[in-house]
Amino acid sequence: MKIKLVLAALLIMLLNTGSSCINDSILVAVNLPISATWSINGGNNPNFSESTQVTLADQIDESYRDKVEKARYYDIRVSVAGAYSGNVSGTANIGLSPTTSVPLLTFNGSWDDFKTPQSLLGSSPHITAQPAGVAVLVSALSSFGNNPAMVVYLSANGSVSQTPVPDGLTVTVEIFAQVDAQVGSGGQ
Amino acid sequence: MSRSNQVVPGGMLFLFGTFLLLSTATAQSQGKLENALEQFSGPAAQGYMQPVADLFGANMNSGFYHSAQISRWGLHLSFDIVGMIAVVSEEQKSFEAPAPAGFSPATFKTATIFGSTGTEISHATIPSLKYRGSDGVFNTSDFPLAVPQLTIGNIWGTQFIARYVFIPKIGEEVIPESNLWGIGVRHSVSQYLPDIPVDLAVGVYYQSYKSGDLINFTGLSYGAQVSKSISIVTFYGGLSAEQSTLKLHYTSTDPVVPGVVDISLDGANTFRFTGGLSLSLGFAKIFADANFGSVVCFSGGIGFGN
Repeated sequence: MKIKLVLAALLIMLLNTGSSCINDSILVAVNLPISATWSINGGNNPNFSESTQVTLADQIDESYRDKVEKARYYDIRVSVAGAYSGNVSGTANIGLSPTTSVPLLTFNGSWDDFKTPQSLLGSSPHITAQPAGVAVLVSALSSFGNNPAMVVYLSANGSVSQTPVPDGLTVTVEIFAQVDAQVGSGGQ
Repeated sequence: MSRSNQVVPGGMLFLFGTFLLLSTATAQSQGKLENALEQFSGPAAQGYMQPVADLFGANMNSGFYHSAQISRWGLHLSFDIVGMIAVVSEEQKSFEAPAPAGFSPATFKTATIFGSTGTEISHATIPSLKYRGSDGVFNTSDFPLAVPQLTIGNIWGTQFIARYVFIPKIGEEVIPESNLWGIGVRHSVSQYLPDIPVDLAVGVYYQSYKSGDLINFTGLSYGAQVSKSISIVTFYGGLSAEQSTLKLHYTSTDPVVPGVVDISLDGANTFRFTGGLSLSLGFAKIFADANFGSVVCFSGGIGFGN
């Protein structure tokens, strides 16, 4: 009988040691990519202007959506796709409603420059962050935890240098962000 | 030692349930681990996970023997419950993580899987750019493991050891099917040296742990053992060479390098010295030992059998 008690005590100790050392909940820094790609219409019009609505919650796994806390961004990139030999310039805008967008960054350079993504972290000379838009971005990310339905409106307007513009050209803006998701005993 | 009293069916159920719960607790941690890992690129995941490769490897290569005494012939059957605890050092609670390419600073100190809170850093010249590591999953200074183990012999002074734990899949993508198994063989050396005052044996052990598609661990250990029994006390020890590898397979959501990540982490321990003692208590024995290598770990438990 005593042996059984020793056995039970040993197993319970191991059980407790094994389970109690797991943190009840942890903050996982979940990647939150926010991106928009806009097509430049082919033809003789060198100007483009497009907008996209991005629901932040749709950019992360469903299992994290009700566990979001703090958020932050760590880079913004601009890139292009398609064959073109001229230059491209413009402004990427951000807003919390379709009618209140402000400049997030400006971009200017040869098309080939942007074939390789130009980023803030890369200290690209071809893009310049705009404080007003950065403030809106930070505000949106800060509010995401309290407002899971947070939507941001990204748009771009600009022009290319030569016409006719070939078909299939696109401009992409990517915002690399993170949200802290509370993964706990009530979660996964 | 006399033959063991049989463990009653209720006891077996208790044993099974306990191992299932212990293993399930471990498996539940895998959900959090997988959540954290998915956010990492390969290099960051290596630093985050290296301590568990070191400690789990050390634990898995522990507890295979409690004596070097092996008779040349005769039935030997014993069932052990072996617990292992590896010591988590302060250095294993944080690591130098790579920040995103171009970030300043390029690396930062943050929590490993055994750490506490992840660190948030700001870019040196663009303060609005911030980056953070995930929190640790385990809040502990000791990393435990427990396995049931069966030893059968003796044939020409040889024993065979097996350990096995199976965790069925629970829920959809919550707790994956996992299994841990190990096999070993020990051979008496002292049978060839009848005049020496101690028992000598050599052994080799191989083990595996697989959990879903995420974790695939293998370990190999071989070495020599010595023991001396005085009344009900047996002093034992040994020298072992070992290696272990923890392979991780997951899909990263890192926006810069998304996709499947396969990394292989070698455990820190390559050699260990073991010293311990066991007490024979009629049909049962209790044992404990300390293991010194790159990782310090302890094993102990209770065994039934002859």
